[in-house]
Amino acid sequence: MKHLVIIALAAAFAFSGCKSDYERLLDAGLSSGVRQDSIFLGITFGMSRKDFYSHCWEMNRDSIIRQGKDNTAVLYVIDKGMRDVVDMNFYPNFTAEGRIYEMPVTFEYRGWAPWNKELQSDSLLVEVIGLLEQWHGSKFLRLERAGRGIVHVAVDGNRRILVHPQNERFVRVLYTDMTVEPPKPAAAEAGEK
Amino acid sequence: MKKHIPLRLFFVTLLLAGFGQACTDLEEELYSSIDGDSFLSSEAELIAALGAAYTNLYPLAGNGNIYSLQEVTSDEIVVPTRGNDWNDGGNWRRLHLHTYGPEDDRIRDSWNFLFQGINTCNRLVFQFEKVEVENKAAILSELKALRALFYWWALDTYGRVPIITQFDVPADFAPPNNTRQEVYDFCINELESNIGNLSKSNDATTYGRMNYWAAKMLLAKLYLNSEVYTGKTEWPAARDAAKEIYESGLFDLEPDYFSNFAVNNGGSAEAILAIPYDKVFAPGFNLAQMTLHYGSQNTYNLQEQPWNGFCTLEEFYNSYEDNDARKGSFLVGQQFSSTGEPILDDGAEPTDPDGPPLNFTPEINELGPNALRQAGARIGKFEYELGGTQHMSNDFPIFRYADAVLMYAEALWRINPNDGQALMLVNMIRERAQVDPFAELTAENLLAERGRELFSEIHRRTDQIRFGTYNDAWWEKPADPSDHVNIFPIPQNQLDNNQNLTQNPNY
Repeated sequence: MKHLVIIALAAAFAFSGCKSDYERLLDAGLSSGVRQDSIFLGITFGMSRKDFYSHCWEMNRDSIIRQGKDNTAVLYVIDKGMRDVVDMNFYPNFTAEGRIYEMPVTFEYRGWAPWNKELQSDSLLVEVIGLLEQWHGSKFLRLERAGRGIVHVAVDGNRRILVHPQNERFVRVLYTDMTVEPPKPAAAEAGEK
Repeated sequence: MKKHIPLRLFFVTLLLAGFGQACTDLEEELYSSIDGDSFLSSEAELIAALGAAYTNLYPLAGNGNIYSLQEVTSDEIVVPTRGNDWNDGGNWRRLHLHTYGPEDDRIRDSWNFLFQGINTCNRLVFQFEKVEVENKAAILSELKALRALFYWWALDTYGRVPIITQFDVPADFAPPNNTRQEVYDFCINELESNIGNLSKSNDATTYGRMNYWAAKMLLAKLYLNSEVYTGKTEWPAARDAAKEIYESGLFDLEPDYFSNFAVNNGGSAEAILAIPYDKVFAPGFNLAQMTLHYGSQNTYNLQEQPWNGFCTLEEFYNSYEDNDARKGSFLVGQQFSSTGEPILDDGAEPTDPDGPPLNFTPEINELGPNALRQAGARIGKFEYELGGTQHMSNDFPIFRYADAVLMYAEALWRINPNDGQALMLVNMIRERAQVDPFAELTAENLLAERGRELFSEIHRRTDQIRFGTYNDAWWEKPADPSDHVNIFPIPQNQLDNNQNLTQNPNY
């Protein structure tokens, strides 16, 4: 019985929260015909895995980036213009053909601690949105979703950017090429040990 | 081995809550754990929300924080610098040499890992205290016990950390360091006052969670290391806590040592507290990537090329007798592809006496910067899944029954060096490993046995400090000039952002 309750709860989350403002924003972006493939640091949607590695190798050589969290991400350090040094960790998702279609990014203040109230993710969120607006000229729409907090969304042609505080420490950003059908998750296969 | 289905349900449900916004395509990574406490109105919902506290454990066994801090500073694991690989500004060499400082990445990231865990517990306690549901007391006690686990690691590594139990702290809150004694007392008090509310079940409903036995094990750890933390021994208390686990009848030694570390190790009879890693749903355990050579990708058909980093020290490898079953914890010698072909390392250095055939040698020519690509016995204790991804699905044992047995033995031995039961317990562990029994226990053979049994399980630095060998010289590392290195420095970023924090001595 307990399991049914948990599943029902998850299902309730899964099918709640349709936002017409968001859908309109997405429709407008997709119907505009504009392609916006730029992500950041010269990385683009559609970039091949090999080109991504080569590009990162060059940036690493030039000390622009270095190995990121747990070696499973690329680290770009933002040490100017923010209230504390910010670590930006990213690593793209590739299509089955090996091309970038999505880029999850995590931002955090290096000096974060539970008691540093100025270095929590709510402050960082504001600075990250400002940074992304500066990088892309995007305008973010604030969506409030019942029981699931707030997400900021910008859609420029095919490029959607989502921003939200993941917890008190991290702000998550997700760039997605909305014209690409994401590969089917391996979850079903991988979930069974 | 049977996997606990309800546990999977528990974690999968958490993920569904985060990934399931099907109708809007706002599906990925959007679950914000700090939003929406209004839905917490039943025990099941509290348990689901509780998962946020446990997901903070996932980075533990990656290379970014506690695993590296506790293992690479010890005499059992080293990360040599192989040309440009694993240089990382000298971070890894400084950990090995005990010359780490407040600016080091692992020092900073481990602190943030620990306080992230503490902060989430504080938030959930804050949220849960506001709602009235069945079994709330048990859930709050579980959170406080989990918080004590994070605080134990903080006590063990940084010593003088601020104790913070409040989530809604004022804007100008800047806590000073607490003393190590105060942090120790806090952990003990939190555990002793909450353990009575924790489940004594050891089954699918409590797997991967802070139940009574995990809390008891944590108490045993605290008491066993009390002299290091406070200057005062607590051997009888350590004995009693470990004895209760030993005599519970709920745990047993697995006949096959390596079944504890298999991909499907979720039902191990030795698991007291484990992180239920999953390559998709609970990622973060990257050991295959961390230790294996680039060419090992072909041995296991790994989806990503490994990073050729972590290996063991030759002296530690040689501390195993040849017939010790646990010596299979290492990969040495010629490596083969999954189809049985010898693997060649096209990038082998001209100076490598083994040449291109990929041959892991226990001997490592140097710590860096020019350690050979193939040098060093690799960590093979955990099963590597054929076709595996960067993230492994093996559960990681934070607390394992064999450790409880050895701790029980050690506490008995500390009280009476001629205790016959202590010797029997250690020999029980040795018998499983198929090596001859000891005739007597000494500090040297007890520490060595703990090392062999618990290799790469994040205990070695703590053990070496307790046995007084952490400051000794070993391969490529001179003796420490001072024991101030037995606790790590407070990260510089933390000092910069909190004027009331002070640095640990001699950093």
